[in-house]
Amino acid sequence: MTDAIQRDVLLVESEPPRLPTFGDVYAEHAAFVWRSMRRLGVRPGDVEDTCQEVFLVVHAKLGEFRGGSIRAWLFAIATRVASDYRKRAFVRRELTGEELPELSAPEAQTAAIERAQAVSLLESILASLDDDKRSVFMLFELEQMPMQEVAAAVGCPLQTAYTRLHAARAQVAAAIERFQKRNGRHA
Amino acid sequence: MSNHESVRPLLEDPSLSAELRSVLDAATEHEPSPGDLAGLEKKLAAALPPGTLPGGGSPPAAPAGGAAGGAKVLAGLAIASAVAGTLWLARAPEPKVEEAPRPAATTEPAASVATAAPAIETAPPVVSAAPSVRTAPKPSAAPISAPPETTMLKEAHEALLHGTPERALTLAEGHARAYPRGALAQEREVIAIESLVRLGRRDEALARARSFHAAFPGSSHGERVDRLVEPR
Repeated sequence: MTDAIQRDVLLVESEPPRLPTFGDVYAEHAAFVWRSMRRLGVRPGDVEDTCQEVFLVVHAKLGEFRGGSIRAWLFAIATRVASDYRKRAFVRRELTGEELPELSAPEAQTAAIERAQAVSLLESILASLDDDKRSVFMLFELEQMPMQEVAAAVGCPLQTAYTRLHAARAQVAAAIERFQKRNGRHA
Repeated sequence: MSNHESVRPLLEDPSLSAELRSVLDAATEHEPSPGDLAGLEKKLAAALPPGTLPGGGSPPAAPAGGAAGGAKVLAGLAIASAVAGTLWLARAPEPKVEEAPRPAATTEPAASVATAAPAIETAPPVVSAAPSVRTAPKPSAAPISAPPETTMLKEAHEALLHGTPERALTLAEGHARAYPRGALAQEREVIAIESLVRLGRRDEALARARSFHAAFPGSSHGERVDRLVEPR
């Protein structure tokens, strides 16, 4: 038993994670960071700048990365950058979509318009979730990240992550229902 | 705990409602285009020590995704965007835009995109200039001859902020030619409408606002558009 423990300790200590280079991280996860910023409420025109901020932080702090899920680590940085972004005075609140869009749906909507609506609705819904639930929902449902990794990314116990997921799902379902009702009324 | 293990992402649930599925599927629209990544890479390369992004890195959306090859292509793209970015300010985008890759995939988006926004497409001279681009497979697919969408619109927005709506409108129209169905088409239209209002071209602003609502009925910018054109 002691041996096993010691071996584990040794493994932990003697096998530091193969630390990725900045180039690796960027090449593998630039798109993930980009998508995450969009879903964290960064306006399309500001995504490039905020992604740059994220990667500058990554560059400065990569030496502190201690292994585990690099996506979880990146996401934690991304959420901080996005949060700062949202706090800045110049970010117009209307673009964070605190309310769901009102739609009047013509009968013969094309798929493309429906798609545009779906994107808009998704963004509104994500914006309406609080930070904790949004992160869990984004990572589990949209990135299909395993829940263990999600919990690491948002820094909460696994059980809490599941609780947040269920709460987020309920809110999302309710938002879609509201949207449909509103849409139906205008149709 | 074991009950948690049975929790699967909603998209894996075959009984998921069509509405919820379409909303979740819409998340793919947040994917960056190669042009987006090239723009980011260019920016990062300028801010980081030389060699930090060897070969310019090779972001995953690189065409064909080859590691070293992809990196070179991307580095080239970044340079192309930089050059195009400079040139673009001096003249309208080349008609090369029209040659945006035709969708081999002939699934619904292509056909529907063509008829997606008739009002916007017939609005001002803006969009009618580049009909074939409408069939581009991804809204955000960036033509190599134009700077990234974000760059183009950022400049337009800055022009508005600096009190030069003529320039903002010109830039927005340039964006409309290069990316008629771009990922930022809504934002561009908002800028164009605001520019028209500030220029006192109210009728055009109103027409464009109507086109906007027809093309993007669910837009989160809808209210803003209404506020812009409401009588003062």
